[in-house]
Amino acid sequence: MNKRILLIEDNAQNRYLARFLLDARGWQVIEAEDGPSGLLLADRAEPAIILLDIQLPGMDGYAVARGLRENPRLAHVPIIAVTSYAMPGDREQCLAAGCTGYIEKPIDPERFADDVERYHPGHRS
Amino acid sequence: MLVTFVALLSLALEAAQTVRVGLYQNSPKIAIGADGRGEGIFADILESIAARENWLIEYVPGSWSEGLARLEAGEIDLIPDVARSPERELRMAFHDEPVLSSWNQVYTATGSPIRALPDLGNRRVAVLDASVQMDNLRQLLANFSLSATLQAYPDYAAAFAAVTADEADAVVTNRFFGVRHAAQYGLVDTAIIFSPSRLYFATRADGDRALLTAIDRHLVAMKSDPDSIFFRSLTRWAVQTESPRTVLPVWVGSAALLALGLLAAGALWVWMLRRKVAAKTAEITQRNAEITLTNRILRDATARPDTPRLLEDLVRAAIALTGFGGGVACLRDADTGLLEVSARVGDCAPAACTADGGPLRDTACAATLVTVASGCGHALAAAGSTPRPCDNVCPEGVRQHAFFPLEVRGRSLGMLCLYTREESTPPRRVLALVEDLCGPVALAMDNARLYAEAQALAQRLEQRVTERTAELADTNRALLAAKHAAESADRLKSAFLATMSHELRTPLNSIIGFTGILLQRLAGPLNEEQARQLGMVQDSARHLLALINDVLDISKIEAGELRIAHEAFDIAASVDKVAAIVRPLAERKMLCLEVERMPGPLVMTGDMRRVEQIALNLLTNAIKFTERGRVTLTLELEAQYAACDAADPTREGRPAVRLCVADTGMGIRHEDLDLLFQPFRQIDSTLSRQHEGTGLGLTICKRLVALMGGEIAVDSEPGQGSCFTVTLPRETAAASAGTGT
Repeated sequence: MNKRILLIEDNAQNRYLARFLLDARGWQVIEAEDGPSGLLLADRAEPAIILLDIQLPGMDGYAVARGLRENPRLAHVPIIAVTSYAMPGDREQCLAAGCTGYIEKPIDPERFADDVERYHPGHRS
Repeated sequence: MLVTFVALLSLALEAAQTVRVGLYQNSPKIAIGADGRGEGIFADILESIAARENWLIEYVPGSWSEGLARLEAGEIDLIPDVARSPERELRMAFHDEPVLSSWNQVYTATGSPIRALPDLGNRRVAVLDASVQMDNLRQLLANFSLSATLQAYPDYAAAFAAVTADEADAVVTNRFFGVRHAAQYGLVDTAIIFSPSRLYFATRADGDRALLTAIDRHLVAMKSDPDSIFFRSLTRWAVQTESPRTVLPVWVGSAALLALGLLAAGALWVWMLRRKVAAKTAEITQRNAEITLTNRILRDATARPDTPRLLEDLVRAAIALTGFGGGVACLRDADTGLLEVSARVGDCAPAACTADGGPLRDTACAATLVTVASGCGHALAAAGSTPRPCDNVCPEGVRQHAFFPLEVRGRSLGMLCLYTREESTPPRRVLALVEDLCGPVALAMDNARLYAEAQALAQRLEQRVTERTAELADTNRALLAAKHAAESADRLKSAFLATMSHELRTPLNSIIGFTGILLQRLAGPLNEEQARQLGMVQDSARHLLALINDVLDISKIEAGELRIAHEAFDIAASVDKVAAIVRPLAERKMLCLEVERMPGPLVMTGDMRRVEQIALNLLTNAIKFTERGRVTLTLELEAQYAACDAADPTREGRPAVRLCVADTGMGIRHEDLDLLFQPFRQIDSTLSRQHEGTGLGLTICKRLVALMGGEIAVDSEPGQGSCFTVTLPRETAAASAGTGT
């Protein structure tokens, strides 16, 4: 079973935190620091889950989500937006751009891995 | 010899018919000529006809009665100049077309007292023997019960001669004979005229009809030709050739005098009538002029209310109507009551109303006082009466004044004062006419004043409106600028909040995340002290996050930016979820957390996240302020909910969801209940150190509940506990069908 998670996040500490929590559950985390490289990596690695920060420099998360969804090979891959955006309409905008789910920052380390795994098709609930 | 001649002639003209004609003296109609032949009008006509008809005329002279006897005896064929009568119609035959018309008239000697029919009573009257007029006269006298002696004479000449000879008092003749012969007998005509008659040729009743037919035919022809023998004969024997001499009787003179007197009286009467008509015409003309003048003033008063001109016209009209010498019209100043001359007509030099040269107070104006005293629409005052009118109407030699008040609806506008050097007073009718002018003129002036005031007022209003409009425009511009500034400030604030939210959360992400990792011993084992201290870091970081979230929420609510979702969700599940979140907190304080609800889902429409936020907040508070006992969360359905704040009346009586959070904590003092929902309030400041919290929780709850169309209430007894109740409209009608979660 594919245990690769693509993490697109510009903040190094956040990448480290997420990687730490997910590694502990046996996930293989691959990282991208911005949108374009994220798109490239997603196409090459075909991860089981994509975690996507919305507030990225240059190409923002919405654009990245739309780009990912344009790739037919990634059509079935869940995209989970991880964002500190808590303004009205954030959630709707994420879903409209093609995201499957939504996790609000700051993440709760005790629940984060559970939340992520809930979106995985192979996850036994 | 004549007979021989006629016989010879008849022999010579064998074919000729002999017509024997009776001849008698009745000139000018018929007479016996000097040579024994016929003469006169009938003879002329008969001979003309005879010539054409080839008749041989044989005259048989005699008297009228002899002639009639001869005709009867058949000795003559024709007799001229016969009037018809019923008796004669039996014995004679006549043609149809009369030769002449005539009437009978009585003639008397000059100076005879006989003038009228009654005068004939007991008189001797000469008449033609066997004539129609004899019978007619007899009949006429009988009709009037008069008796007269009728003396018959063979012809008119003899009868006339009898009167001349005083053998008779009067004579009856036909008009032809009378007119032609009266003068030569010294006779005069009388007013006694009778029996108009038509005169014909006559034959014996069984005589020759052809004679009469021929005469008729020729007469008709003659009468249609002005040059015929008929008219020539009439001219020839015209009665006018010699008029009878008329002698005037004595009474005629006195009658003439009387007639003259009557005539003079008639002329005088006519002259008087003419004078009367002339006077009446002059009066009508005068009235007409007055009416024309009055009409002009009244028309001007309504059509052209130009006060000075109108007043001058009024003075002129009043002078023309009354015949006064001059006058003035004064207007009263409404504020000061001073009178000033506005129009002046006449020979009085302009003068000041008072000695000091100023206008006169109306209470001191003689004209005003006199008219007020008179109590009617005008007043007359003789010169020298007191109070004395002002110098404006007192020229040299003035004898009399007339005053007319100019009033509108009982308000005095001024006076019309007239003066005259005459003694005579104008008739009441004229004074009334001037009064009738003053009313409308005053009204017109007042209306003109009101109109001018209204115009001025309108102008002032317009000015004010213009000014206010300009002011408002300025204010508007300022407000618009302020609004733009505020809007840009608002946008700035929203951007700031968004940025701050992100920037604050990012470091918190690390703090909360790594403390969590460490506390989970994912990075390695911790000793007890390390775990306790990291727990403090984690609590503080969570508190900081709650603060940030609350500040962000309240800012969004204040800015009206908080959007409330409107979707169906299962509030029972939300309640369970929230209870699960706070359960560890309650258990840590050894509190009993109870959830009371009906089994199964309860779907409502609203914002699930916000509903959960409210429930979480209330539960957290309840646990926070309760040291022992229990915290109970109750969820129930209310069928008929009527919101206290009935801003939306459509929610009246709709189903609602009620969420109660009751605790057995310290409770809230009644005086503090009002402060409870205000921002940054924790009732007891000492508590805030003991119980961490943002102080924004209840404020946010109240705003969120209001945004969802519900209400929040609190009931508390200090020392006993508190109960917060949130009621939200369920509003599932549209959404419930598609939701089963």
